[in-house]
Amino acid sequence: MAEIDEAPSAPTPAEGLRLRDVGVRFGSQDILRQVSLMVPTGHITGLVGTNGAGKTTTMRAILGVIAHTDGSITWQGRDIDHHTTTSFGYMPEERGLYPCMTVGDQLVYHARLHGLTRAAARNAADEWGERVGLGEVMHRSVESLSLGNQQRVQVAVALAHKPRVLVLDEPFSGLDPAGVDQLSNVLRERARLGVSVLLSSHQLQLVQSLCDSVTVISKGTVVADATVHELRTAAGRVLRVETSSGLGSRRTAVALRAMGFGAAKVLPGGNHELTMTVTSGRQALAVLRRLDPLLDIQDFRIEAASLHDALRGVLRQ
Amino acid sequence: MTSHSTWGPIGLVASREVKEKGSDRKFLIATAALVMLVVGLVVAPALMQRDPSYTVGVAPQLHDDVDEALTHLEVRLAMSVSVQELPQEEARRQVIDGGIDAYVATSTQVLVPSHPDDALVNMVQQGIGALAVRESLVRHNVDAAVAEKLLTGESPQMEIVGGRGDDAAAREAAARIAVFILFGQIATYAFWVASGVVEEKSTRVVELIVSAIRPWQLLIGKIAGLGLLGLAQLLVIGTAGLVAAVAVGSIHWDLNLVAALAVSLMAYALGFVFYASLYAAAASTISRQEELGSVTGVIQGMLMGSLVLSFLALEPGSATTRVASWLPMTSPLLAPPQLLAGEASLASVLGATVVLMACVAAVIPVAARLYGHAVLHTGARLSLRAAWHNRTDSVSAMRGQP
Repeated sequence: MAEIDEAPSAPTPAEGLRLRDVGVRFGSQDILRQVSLMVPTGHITGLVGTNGAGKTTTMRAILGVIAHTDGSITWQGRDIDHHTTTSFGYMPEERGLYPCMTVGDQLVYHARLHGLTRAAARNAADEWGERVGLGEVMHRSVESLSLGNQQRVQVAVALAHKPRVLVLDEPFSGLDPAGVDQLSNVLRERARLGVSVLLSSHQLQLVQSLCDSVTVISKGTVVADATVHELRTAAGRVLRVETSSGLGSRRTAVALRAMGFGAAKVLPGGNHELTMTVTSGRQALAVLRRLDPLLDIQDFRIEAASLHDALRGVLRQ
Repeated sequence: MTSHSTWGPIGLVASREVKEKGSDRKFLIATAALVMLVVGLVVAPALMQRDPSYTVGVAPQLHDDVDEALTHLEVRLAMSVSVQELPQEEARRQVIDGGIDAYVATSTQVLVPSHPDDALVNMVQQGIGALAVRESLVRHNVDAAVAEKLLTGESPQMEIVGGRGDDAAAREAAARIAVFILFGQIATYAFWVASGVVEEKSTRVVELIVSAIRPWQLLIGKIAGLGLLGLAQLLVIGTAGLVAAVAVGSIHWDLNLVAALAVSLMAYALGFVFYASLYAAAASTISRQEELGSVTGVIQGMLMGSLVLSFLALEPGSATTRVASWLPMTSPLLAPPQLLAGEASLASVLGATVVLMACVAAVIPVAARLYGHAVLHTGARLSLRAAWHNRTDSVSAMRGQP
């Protein structure tokens, strides 16, 4: 069982985790088709997409929990097998722990299943229990904890054996803001130590602030795979307009096209707020002048597109 | 750090099962209650029969001498013996039928059933032995030194003529208790395996575990852990019962008893693994505890059928039970009582054990395959056919195979 060094070191420029044209089929149904993505050593990659897009299936395939029927999954250039995935850390979407076991025993047990000795597992359990804020409840059964604390136990289980790869399915759901900050810091630290981190989340602000790159998956296929910066740059600038009238995004899009602003993409949103991507500040001003008579504009902002805006654009295509 | 061996995770899973179930207060209370129940069942009949009574037949020419000798001994040994004068052929029939406990044919020959009561045998040997010596002295007109030698050396030969005898009844009672204990252990612990499988599915912890170890390792670890816990409880209960039975004299150590005990332990181990594997495979196709009864109904029926057959097996000469004692689903409960009651030979029981071993060796990989394919399946019950062919959105063939 290999363990990463605790001492901070520069990540080695290694390939890390790689999926090439991975397909998963259940019966006659293709759940994943030609999914390719890469999580280099020391990087945090976000896997995002709508519900049912195939994020969880992708993660389960990486862990070998389900079989991939096509393509390959490699770690440091070699096909993964059971021995490899034993050194991975996993937080499944459907959380699960033994309800009657104490927190401490739970952490030790899972760490030992990943190959740690009894003493190493005990030390790791104490360390990670403390780090994720479970120091006071280590002797309590999991079922007696709040949902938030159960989530922390799940985080600690994924981290305690000091994995080389972390695969986390919605790791922030159920955590309070302090817990979110704590986990974010831990993940950044793990990445600095050379761990490849793949996480899925619907909290795109977190993905934007945490991830080096993002893979967007929709209907079982990858529709975008780039760094956060690239995705945001490609999305251009965003014009947000508050109006007193409710023209609606669809009708606004039609109106803009009729006015010759086909490049300005109106993103789905509320009735009294329009968000559209524009190529430049000059185009934004031109759009505003033409829309003002139609929409009774109350306020507007021109800003760099967020990851959320970028993904809305990608998924809309 | 250690390398991740094949057996390491199995041991971890097994020890977790032992720790979780073995430290449960309900388990400890149940064990204590079972010990008291078994000891009570063994001791109570002995306490209620403090002054045993026997009927001994005697050849007409020996009636007075035997009556005198046994009357003298019954006071000394706190036993009640009535002596009945009978011709030898009639007496032989009555010994076999259980009408009399023994028959003194001559001063050197006593007819007894297959499993004579030890206390009666001792008494007859003492009483009739003296008669034999006296007759020898008369016949040989020997001096005192030779007479002394004859007094210490002569005793009647016991000829077994068939029938059951009082000790057979005690062995049969012990066999019935053993059947109940074996049935209870196999049924309870195999069901715990099934219940544990469903619990791990319903709490979703199984996905986390099979991301670290292979499903078959989880299955084998679970069966091994609960099987060992059941064996430990069986040993505690069995030891308590045996000690009590020997203490009150209702059972006596002999090779047959030792063989029966060894076969019982083997039957528990193999029977448990056989049924636990079936239970685990069936349980892996469902996701809720509420469905466990329906999905394991056939297996429970097989166990109940074995229990009924095992009681029939104590009656001699049943063709059904002779066949059933060779079938793997029934032999774990049939073999030990048959051996204990003297209704089966050690060779036939060992033969049935070999058949059971072969069957267990075949069932384990089948159960592991079904379990591996179905263990991550959630929602409606999965058919065994779909689980066998991995037609589920669950676990990979890569990880599902041993």
